[in-house]
Amino acid sequence: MDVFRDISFTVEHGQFVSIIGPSGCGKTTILKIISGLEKASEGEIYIDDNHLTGPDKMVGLVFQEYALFPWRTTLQNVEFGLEIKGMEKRRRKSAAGDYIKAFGLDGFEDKYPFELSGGMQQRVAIARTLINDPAVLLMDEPFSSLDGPTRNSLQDFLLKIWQERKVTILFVTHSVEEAVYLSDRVIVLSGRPAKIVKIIDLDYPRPRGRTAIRSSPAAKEIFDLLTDETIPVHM
Amino acid sequence: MKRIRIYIAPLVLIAIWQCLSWSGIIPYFMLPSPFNIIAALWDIIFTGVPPGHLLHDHLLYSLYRVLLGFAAAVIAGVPLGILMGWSTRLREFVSPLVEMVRPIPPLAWVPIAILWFGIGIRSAAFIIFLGAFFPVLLNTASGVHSISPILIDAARTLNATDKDIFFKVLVPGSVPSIFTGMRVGVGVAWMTLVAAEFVSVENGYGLGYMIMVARDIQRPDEILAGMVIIGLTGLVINILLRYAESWIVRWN
Repeated sequence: MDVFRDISFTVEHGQFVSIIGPSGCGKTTILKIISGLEKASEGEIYIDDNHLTGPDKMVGLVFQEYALFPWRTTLQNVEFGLEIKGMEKRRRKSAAGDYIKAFGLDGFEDKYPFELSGGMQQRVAIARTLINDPAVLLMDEPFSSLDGPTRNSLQDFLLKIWQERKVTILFVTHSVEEAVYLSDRVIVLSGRPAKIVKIIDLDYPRPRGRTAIRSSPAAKEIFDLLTDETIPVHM
Repeated sequence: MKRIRIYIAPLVLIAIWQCLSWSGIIPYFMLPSPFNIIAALWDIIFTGVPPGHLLHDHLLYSLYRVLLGFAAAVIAGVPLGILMGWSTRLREFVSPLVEMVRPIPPLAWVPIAILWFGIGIRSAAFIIFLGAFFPVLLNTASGVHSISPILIDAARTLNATDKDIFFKVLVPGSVPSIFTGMRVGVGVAWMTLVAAEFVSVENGYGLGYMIMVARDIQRPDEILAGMVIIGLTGLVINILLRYAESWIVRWN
């Protein structure tokens, strides 16, 4: 069975785009295909003029479950990508150190993941991905297992990082609030087989107010579209 | 309080045993009393069984044989186990063979071992190797197999090659299981050793050999003393491995 069909979209440089859809609709699969972890039976992916055929250093992926290496400390997790590249030890330690500082993780360099809170673990994971300097950052429901306040503060942190580093973000979520708070553009998917229901541009100025954006017409529209898609109709 | 509690059961048991021996319900030739055994420990430490072959030499030779066979089992079992855990094809290929050879008790190999290696350290090490190899192999393989696939995905998206994934994800990720395999393996190795020394000792040293001599000269107290030493040594080895594990695997 097709997981999805006719899904085609473009993300502009430096844009923050979210994909939202009912759970199990294959949002994660889209990210896995773009990141080269899974092969699509049909279709193609380009970054500018580069055809992607497998895992590529232009694409970074942040997982919902953080996926930190439990046997590596914060510093060792962050420097993983540089170590793979064969960067000399002293240089990669200092580069990882800069990221650790920028991500508010100083003092936790030598802690193992099990000693960190969920929010800190996800910051380590984002730093580990960004240190490779990807053109596109894919994020698969990265904040969905965090509690409310931590999630809010990580959303703001992500926006700051995004604005500072001019990285392009493709963000999968099932939360309308999160999508409208963060994104320039939201892609709404249907249930399986997933199709694009609508692409909605959000031209609200930043910084946005959480309460205001939550009750915006765009938020309502997305919510209604999802409600239609989520409730199965039997005839 | 907990510290005290764990000693209560053994001490009570020993006290009952001693009383039964004093009252004559358990005859000496069936089971010597705890005091007899302590006295025998004195004998095997300072006089030796056979005389002149002191306990510490028996113990060192036994440890040497175990170390040799066990080291060979780890050197062969860990890499092969990692490959088996990683490659489904290799696992399907090797598993039937492993499952067929594994149930053969190491002792059943004794005649073959003597045929191949003669009586001596090499055949003893071979038999110990057989005992320790399978626990190490299978625990390592299951450890690799149980590494969350998402960690491998994460490494791939960070541009790790297959070689990187092998050395930087599979190997470190399976270390806890390797330790479990080593602890089970060294236990089996130690059990196998004593049995192997019943039949394959060239130089008159080894705890198993010592027990055989004690049997031949009809000294049940020395047999029991030898058994106590074997048990205590196994315990110490296990404790040392646990320490090494908690020191190396600080992340678990």
